[in-house]
Amino acid sequence: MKKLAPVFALLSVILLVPACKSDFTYYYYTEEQTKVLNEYLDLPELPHDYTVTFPSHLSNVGLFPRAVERDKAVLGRVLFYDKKLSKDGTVSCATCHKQDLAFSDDKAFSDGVYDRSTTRNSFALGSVANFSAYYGTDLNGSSAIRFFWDNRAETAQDQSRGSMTNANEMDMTMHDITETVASQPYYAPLFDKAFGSTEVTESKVLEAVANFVNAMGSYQSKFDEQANNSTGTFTGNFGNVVYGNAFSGFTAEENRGKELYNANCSSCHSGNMGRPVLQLANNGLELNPTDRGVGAITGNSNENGSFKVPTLRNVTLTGPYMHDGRFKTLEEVIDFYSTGIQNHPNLHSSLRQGSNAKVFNFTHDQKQDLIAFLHTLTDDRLLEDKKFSDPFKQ
Amino acid sequence: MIRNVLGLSATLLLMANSCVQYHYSPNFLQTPYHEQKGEAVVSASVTGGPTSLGGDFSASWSPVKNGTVMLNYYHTRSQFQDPNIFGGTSYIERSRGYLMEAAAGGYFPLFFGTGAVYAGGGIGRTRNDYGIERIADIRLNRFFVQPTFTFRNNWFRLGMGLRMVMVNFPKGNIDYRIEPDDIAVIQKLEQESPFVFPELGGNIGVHFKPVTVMAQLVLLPTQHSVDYGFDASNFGIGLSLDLHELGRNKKKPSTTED
Ligand code: HEC
Ligand code: HEC
Repeated sequence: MKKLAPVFALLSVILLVPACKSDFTYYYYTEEQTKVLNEYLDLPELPHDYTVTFPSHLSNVGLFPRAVERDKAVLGRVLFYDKKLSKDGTVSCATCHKQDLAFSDDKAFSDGVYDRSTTRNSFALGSVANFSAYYGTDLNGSSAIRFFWDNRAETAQDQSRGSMTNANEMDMTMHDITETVASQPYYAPLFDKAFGSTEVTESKVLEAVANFVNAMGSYQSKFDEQANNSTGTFTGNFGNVVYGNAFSGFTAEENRGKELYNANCSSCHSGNMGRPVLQLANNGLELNPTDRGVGAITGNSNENGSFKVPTLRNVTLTGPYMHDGRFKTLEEVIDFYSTGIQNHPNLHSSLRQGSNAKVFNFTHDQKQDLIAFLHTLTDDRLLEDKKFSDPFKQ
Repeated sequence: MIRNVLGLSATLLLMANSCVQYHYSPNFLQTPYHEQKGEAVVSASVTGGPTSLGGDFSASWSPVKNGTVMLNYYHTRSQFQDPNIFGGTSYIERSRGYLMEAAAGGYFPLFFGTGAVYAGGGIGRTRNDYGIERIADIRLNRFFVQPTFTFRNNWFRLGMGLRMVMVNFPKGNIDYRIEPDDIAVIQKLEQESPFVFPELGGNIGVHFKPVTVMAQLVLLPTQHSVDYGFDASNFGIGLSLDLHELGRNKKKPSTTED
């Protein structure tokens, strides 16, 4: 009997160890770091998830977001909202790229430091399915879409450096920026997490901002929902994927607007709202443009008056419209395309009829339909998502 | 079956290339060869792959007729230098874990050999470093029921068995800097624990009284290895020593008493 003692001991162990639920503890900041951060910032205990997962209608055609490094995006968010990174301490990226406006500005020309203002309309960073899938942030070659209305910046880093050092925007030198960042106590923990060291360098700052911006995008609109459940795409020129069938979840008005859009606009702005079909085009805003756009950068007179083709996600929120914010409302934009296209020599062929500028002459109802369709491109989640909001305590 | 084994080997190769972090790794499936009261055996094996090295120890004793108790201990560690083809900071990933358990069972003659059924349980812990000290420290406990079949003669030994295990992960302490993909796996462990699955294993050996030279293999033939970061198999070689063959009337070993 005594010899069976080990057996009984074992049995009691089995009975005593409860098959209980798991209870894991996750930690991120140290206690000390939390204390410092809490003084200035309203950050969650565990960082937000910045992974971007595309709807199937985009991944099915081979469009994928590139990976975002979460810890760098967390740091990038703080940099994006930090007004101390401007010469007079009043301007941050978010001054001109406002979350509730899909990261655009509601002014034709945005306010920079010392009451200066920008010379072009702010870009809606949320007008794309995803920043990193759209832009050539680390791609090279012809498929890499460049930044700015005139396509002058090649990478998100170039672009951020441009904004920080532009005299009309933040007016800093990169040296000012790194000094300022290094002197703010709340950056040490964030750099530690993002880079494993608290040392501040220009390239780290830019990389962090790029990661935050690269996580942005809208891909959860009504249009996306419908496209996910829809078949019947066809592929037009330059790989333009177009949804030919009516969407069952759209109103009749929205479906009519989609048809008009597919026929007249998708050849540039794209039928699936993935990437624009053309990188740049002259859409006939003016006969004699003062802002030569891409032509001024490349020196190629065939590109005078050409600007980057924006995708139109969240377009209802991003007015005023065009590179100079000349149109206050979408109605004005549609009126322009309907009867106002100017026959500039570089006007793109899809907006021409023979040797003249096209006159679409949309009826009142057609205009309403187009606008109803453009409304389906709004992604409300991006506008409310806390991980893209201002982290600073007021 | 062959297909499965091939599939597993392919998965294994892939896993060996991609990571060293396992949330569970099966120890060898021990098949004590006892046929008589008083027999006692201790064994030690080494196991490992391109990036890992482990040791598996077992002691078994038949204190009563047809009854066996055994103690097993398994420890493994691995290390992997991230090659980082993108040229960023390259870091070293490390992993270590152990499993310690006790079991009891009964044996009986079966066909031309011996059948046995064991039941047992134990505790373990894995400590995975995902590089730059991002550590997931997770405790586990495991229960198992294990029918086996063994054959032995004077020079040869063959044992095999099926082990039904229930693995539970009661506690974890996890650095959230670990990459989101890896965190997602850990969260799945937390949410879906306990896990119940079968393992197949066996050993083959040549006996030179009182020592046996043996090869051991254990396989986890389910999706768990892929879905939850479990190690899909273990292979190793080792030695065992039949203490009762060392000399007649020797005192019984004390290995099972602690
Ligand atoms: C003072 C207003 C202002 C500030 C501050 C500002 N921007 Fe901009 N941003 C603009 C304007 C205006 C444009 C379009 C300029 C052009 O195309 O010439 C633009 C364009 C961009 C673009 C290009 C988008 C595209 O589709 O090509 C990105 C990206 C961007 N800004 C990000 C940032 C970041 C990051 C910061 C902070 C480091 C920042 N901006 C600060 C006004 C601003
Ligand atoms: C030839 C290509 C082309 C076609 C076709 C085209 N567009 Fe555009 N669209 C552009 C370009 C280029 C811009 C930017 C021009 C600028 O700002 O100077 C633009 C700008 C816009 C904007 C302003 C976006 C913003 O954020 O400021 C809207 C809205 C728009 N287009 C709607 C339409 C609609 C609706 C149609 C169809 C009726 C259409 N476009 C057809 C090239 C095109």
